[in-house]
Amino acid sequence: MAFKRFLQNIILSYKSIYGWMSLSKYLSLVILVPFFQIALFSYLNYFINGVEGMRYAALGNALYNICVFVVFTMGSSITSERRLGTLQTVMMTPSNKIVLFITKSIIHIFEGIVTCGFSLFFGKIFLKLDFSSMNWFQGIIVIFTTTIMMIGVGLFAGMIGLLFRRATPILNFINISVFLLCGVNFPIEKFPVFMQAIAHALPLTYGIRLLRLAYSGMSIYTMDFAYLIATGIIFFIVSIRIFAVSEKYSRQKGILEYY
Amino acid sequence: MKKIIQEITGSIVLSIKDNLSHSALLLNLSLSPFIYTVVSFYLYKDLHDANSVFYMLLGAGAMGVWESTLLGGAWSLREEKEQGILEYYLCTPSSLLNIIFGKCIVSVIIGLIVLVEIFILVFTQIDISAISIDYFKFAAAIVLLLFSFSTIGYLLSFLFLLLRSFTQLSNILTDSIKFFCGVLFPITVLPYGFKVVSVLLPPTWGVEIVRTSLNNSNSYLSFNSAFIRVLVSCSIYIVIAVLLFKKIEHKVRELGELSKI
Repeated sequence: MAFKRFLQNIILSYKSIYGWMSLSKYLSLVILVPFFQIALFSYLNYFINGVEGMRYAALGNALYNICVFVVFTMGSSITSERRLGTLQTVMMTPSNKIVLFITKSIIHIFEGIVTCGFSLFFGKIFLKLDFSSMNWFQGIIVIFTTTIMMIGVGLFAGMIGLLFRRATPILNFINISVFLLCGVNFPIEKFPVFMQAIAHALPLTYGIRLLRLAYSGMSIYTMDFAYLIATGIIFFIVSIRIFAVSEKYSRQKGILEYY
Repeated sequence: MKKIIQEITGSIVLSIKDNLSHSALLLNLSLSPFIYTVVSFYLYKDLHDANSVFYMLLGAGAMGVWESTLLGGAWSLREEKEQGILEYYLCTPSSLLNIIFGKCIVSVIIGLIVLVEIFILVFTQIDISAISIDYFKFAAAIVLLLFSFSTIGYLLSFLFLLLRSFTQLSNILTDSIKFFCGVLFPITVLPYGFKVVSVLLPPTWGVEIVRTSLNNSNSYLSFNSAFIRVLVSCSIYIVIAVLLFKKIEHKVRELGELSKI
C-alpha cells in the first residue's frame, strides 16, 4: 500500500512538473545544457593537456551532470513550492516530508542518469572518448551508486530551500562548489590540503574516480567504492537530521510563507 | 535627443536600484566567475608562459562579463514579467529600445566590476611581471569586449520578450556562448562546424582583441584586424536588434502574452 502510494506520488510529481512543458524545452534541459557545459571544459582541458585531458574532463563532467539534477532539483522543488505559495500546505500534511521531497525528485534523478548517458554519447562523438576498454557493467554500477549517494547532498540543499527566501543563488553556489572541489576537471591533489579534505567528504569525488577506473577497464571494487557508500550514508543521515531541525525552525519562525 | 537620454538615464537609475535590492543576485554574479577563475587557475597553473596565464585571466573575466550581461539584463526582464509589470513598459510613451538599452548599460557596469574583481584576485596569486601588455590597447580592448557582450545581450533581450519562459534559453546560452566564443581557449581548437558558429558571434572577436593586446601574443589576428571584426559584428547585431524590435513589439502586442509566465 505504502509502495503504491510512493509510486503514485512519483507519477503525480512528474505530471505536475512536466504536464505543461514542451518537448523542445525538456530536450534543451536534458541534452543541450549539459552538452555545452561538458564541451566547454573538455575543450579547455584539450587545449592545456591534449586528448587525455579532454577525456578526463569529459568523464568528470558527465557524472557531475547527475549531481546538478539531484542536488539542484531537490533544493529547487522546495523553492518552487514556496514561489507558488503551496509550501505551507505541503508542510502541513502528515506525510513524511523527507520521503515526500525525495519522491518529487525521483524523476529528476533518473533524468540525471539519462543526461549522464547522453553526455557519454556526446563524449564518444565529439570529445574523443574511446570506450573500447570500458567495463560497462561496473560503470553503470558507479553511476547508479553515485546518484543514490548524492541524495543526501540533495536533502541538504532542500534544507536551504526551507530556510531561505531566495535559495536559488545559494543552490547555484553549492553546485558550483561541488563542481570545483570534486575533481571534475583536474585531480584534487592540485588543491591545498584543507580543500582536499572537503573534497574527500563528498561522495561525487569518489564516484568520478571510480568512473575513470571503469573507463580504463580497471576494477571499481577499491577503497574508493567503500568511501563513496560511506560518505553517501553519512551525508544522508546528517541531512535527515538537519532537515528535521530546519523544518521545525521554519515552522516556529513562520518563514514558510516568505516569497 | 533629450528625450532619448532621459529615457536611458531613467532606465539606468531604476535598473541600478533593482539590482541593489537583489543582493543575492549580485552575490551569485560574483561567486560564479570566482569559481571559474579558480578552476581555470588550477588548470593553467602548470603552464608557466605568459600567454597561458593571460588566457586564464581573460577567460575568467570574460565569463564574469557574460554572466552579468545575460543574467543581469535578462533576469530583470524575468522578474518584471513575474511581477506583471512588463506590459506597462509597452504602454508608456518611452521607447522599449531605450529602456532595454539602459538595462544593458547597467549589466555592462556590473560586468566591469566583476572583471576588475577577478583581475585583482588573479593578480594576487600570480606573478604578472612576465606578462607584457600594451596598456592602451588593453584598455581599448576591454571596452570593446564589454561592448561585444552587451550587443548580443541587447539582441537577446528582445527575443526574451517573445518567450513565455526564457529560463531554458538562458541556461543554454550561459555555457554555449562561453564555448563558441573561445572565452577559455582559442577557437582554433574547435572542430570546423563549431568554428562557423564562433565567427558569427561578436564576443569571439571581443575576446580575441583583448588577447592581441598582449605583447608577444600568439593570437592569429592583429589588433587592427580584430578591431575591425569587433566593430563590424557588433554593428550588424545592433542593426538586427533595431530592425527586429519593431516586429517583436508588434508581435508581442498581438499575442498579448507578456503577462504569461
